[in-house]
Amino acid sequence: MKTKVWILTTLALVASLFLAGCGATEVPPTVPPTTAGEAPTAAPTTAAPPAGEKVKVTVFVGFGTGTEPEQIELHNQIAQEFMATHPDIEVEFMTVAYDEHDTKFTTMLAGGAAPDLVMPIGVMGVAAYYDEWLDIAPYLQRDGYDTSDYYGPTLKLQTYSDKTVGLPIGVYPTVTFYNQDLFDKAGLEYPPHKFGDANWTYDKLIEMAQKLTLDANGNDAASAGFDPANIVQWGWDGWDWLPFKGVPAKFGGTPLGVSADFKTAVFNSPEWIEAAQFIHDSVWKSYVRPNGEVAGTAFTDDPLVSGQVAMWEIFSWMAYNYGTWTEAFNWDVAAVPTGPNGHLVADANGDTFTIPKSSKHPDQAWEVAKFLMEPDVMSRLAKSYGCIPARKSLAAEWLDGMKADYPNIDWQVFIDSIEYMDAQPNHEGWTPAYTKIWDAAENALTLIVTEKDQNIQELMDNLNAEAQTYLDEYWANK
Amino acid sequence: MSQTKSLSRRETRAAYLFISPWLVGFILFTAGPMIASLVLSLTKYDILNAPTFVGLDNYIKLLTSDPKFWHSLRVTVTYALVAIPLGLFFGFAVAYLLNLKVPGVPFWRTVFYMPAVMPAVASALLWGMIFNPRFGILNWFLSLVGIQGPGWLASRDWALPALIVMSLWSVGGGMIIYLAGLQGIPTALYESAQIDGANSWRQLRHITVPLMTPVIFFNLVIGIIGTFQYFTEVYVLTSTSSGGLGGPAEATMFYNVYLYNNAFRYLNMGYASALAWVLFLIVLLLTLLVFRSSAAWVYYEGEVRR
Repeated sequence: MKTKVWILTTLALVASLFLAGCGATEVPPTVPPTTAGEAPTAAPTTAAPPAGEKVKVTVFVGFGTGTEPEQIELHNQIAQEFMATHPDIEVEFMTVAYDEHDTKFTTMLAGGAAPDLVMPIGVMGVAAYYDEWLDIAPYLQRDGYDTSDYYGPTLKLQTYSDKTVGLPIGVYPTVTFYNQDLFDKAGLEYPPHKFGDANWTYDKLIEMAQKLTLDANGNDAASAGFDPANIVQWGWDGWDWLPFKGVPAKFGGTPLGVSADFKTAVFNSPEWIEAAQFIHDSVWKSYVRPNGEVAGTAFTDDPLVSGQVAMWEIFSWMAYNYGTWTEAFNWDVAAVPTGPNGHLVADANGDTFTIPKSSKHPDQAWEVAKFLMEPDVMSRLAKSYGCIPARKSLAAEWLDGMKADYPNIDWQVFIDSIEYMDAQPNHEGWTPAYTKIWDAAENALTLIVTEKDQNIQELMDNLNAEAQTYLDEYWANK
Repeated sequence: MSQTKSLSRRETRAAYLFISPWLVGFILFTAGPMIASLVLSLTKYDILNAPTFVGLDNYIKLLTSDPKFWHSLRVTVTYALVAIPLGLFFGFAVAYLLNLKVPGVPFWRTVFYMPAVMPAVASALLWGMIFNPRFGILNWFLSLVGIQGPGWLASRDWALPALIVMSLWSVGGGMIIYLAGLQGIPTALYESAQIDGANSWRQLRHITVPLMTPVIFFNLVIGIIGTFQYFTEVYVLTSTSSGGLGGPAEATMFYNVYLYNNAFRYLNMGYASALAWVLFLIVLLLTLLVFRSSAAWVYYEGEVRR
């Protein structure tokens, strides 16, 4: 009897072991991007499906925007339009909630059921699964695809040293949003709207912001009786909501925090330290920027909506709150200031499409992608996603649309910002141990803005050491 | 002779048949995954590619070259060392007070037990608002008595205390068990103690607490197992837009949070599995220690002590 029980249990355990073992598909490991440019791979052979058989292209939506009901409707409509002109390709948009997109995507890939197209996906999404994307340069070459209508920087955003992962749908550039009412109250002139204005540097911005930083008694930060313990209004919320990596390019450093060959951490380079010190001083020395505790908790929604912040440098995806701002105060947008040594960098996020390498129908996926990039379709997608379309020919239409909704804003500033974006490397760009290094950098930023007595040099040295261990770990396993 | 044998055999078979649903479920959903996790802990596995065998590398790295492992353990143990005793004490105290025949006991019992049945996510969100340094009512209460409240969940020093305070809200779970235990103590003992001239304090110390030690023991074991698996509240309260957890600056990086990061954000499934097994061993060890020690301080009623 005992033997029977043992046999039964052992069989069951062994069975479950087998079940656990199989199921993961074998995918050959890929080499990370190197600095040396590599020859483009041979043009893809078009394996035409047998006549009469429809090929199904699954589009994975969930890496960013695109999951709202109206957007799902738009996607389905576009799918109908595509299928009307492409009878042998069936398109299905698979919408996944943002919270679940990682698990769903990895499961699909691990189970051999990779989607054929992923869109919209930002630079961060591309970086998180960098090895999984197909190089579309051969397709661009084969079809002689005309990229002249795209803004140069938006194309660069998707073009890495070893492959091009997609084409840009739209971008979200940064501008300086400012509360005109607070400027009027202080009797100050509005900040410049022209990029590259000689009088618009970050030092000048701090000066201006100090006059807009007020304590409970109405003294501004530049005055003698200023009480830093009782600040009720801040002149500039800095790069709040931007990642730490978004800042050093303005000081001439690399946003990735690692060397070009991805082997050495450079978080304690002079430019990174200068950036860290600047952030620290804007919070604890000139007091223009609210500290971490306040910024994380005092603003009921975003910093501007509270009416307590005069200026804020942030991405154009804040469009979701333009209406709320308009109801609360008069606002406009100014250019991004120039950093020390003349570096003018206005960070940008961008949406693109990608084709997973393990897709079974890459050729058909490319056909769908080309359709999505056509001016009319791109215009509708960009409007739905809230980004500026990547085609120059669509700029006028975009400006008219924004002017119709909010006539008092200088929308041209957004278009101007595109030229100065951090296209390559982008601050969200790939590094080895991507998430670990990202987390470490964000932790360092939290300490800079939350704790006054942090020794910046020491903090950045620690961050560098930590990042270096992750890099070493990564390369040791290659 | 053979009749009883076949009867007993039939009965055994019937028994296994009846428990087979549970057995199948256990193997498929508990034992199987546990074994899979053990096997995975000996591999390097990032979901997207097949696992590669690396032997005990994960465990060695865990114990020798991962400062974050020790940090997360420290955070968890610190929390446990404060939250468990406080939870035991307050649970007992509230149950004792409710046992004193105050008016409206069923009402108070419901009020204190309700937080324990609220979903963890909902109560975490609620406490997130209470702890808001500028608009939350906790700091407002403190300001009424002239104290400027700290940053709570936004501050490195006060995030853990905030979570400990939050955990005290759900002492109702343990309180119910304490209450049942208190009401199981025979009144004859109290009466005879009173006759001998014992006051309330001596009654508490010499009758109530000793006879409550089995319940305290139970709540202690459950508390240890629960606190070492602390995760949901941290996930709800410290998630940042870029997916970061355990903030600010890893002040609330509990062991399970670090495990989650490794598994689902860094895609180090093998390493995360190793972390899971180490956690299992730690909790097992602590539970065994508590069980061993129980001989010294737990008195079961009617037990004969030599």
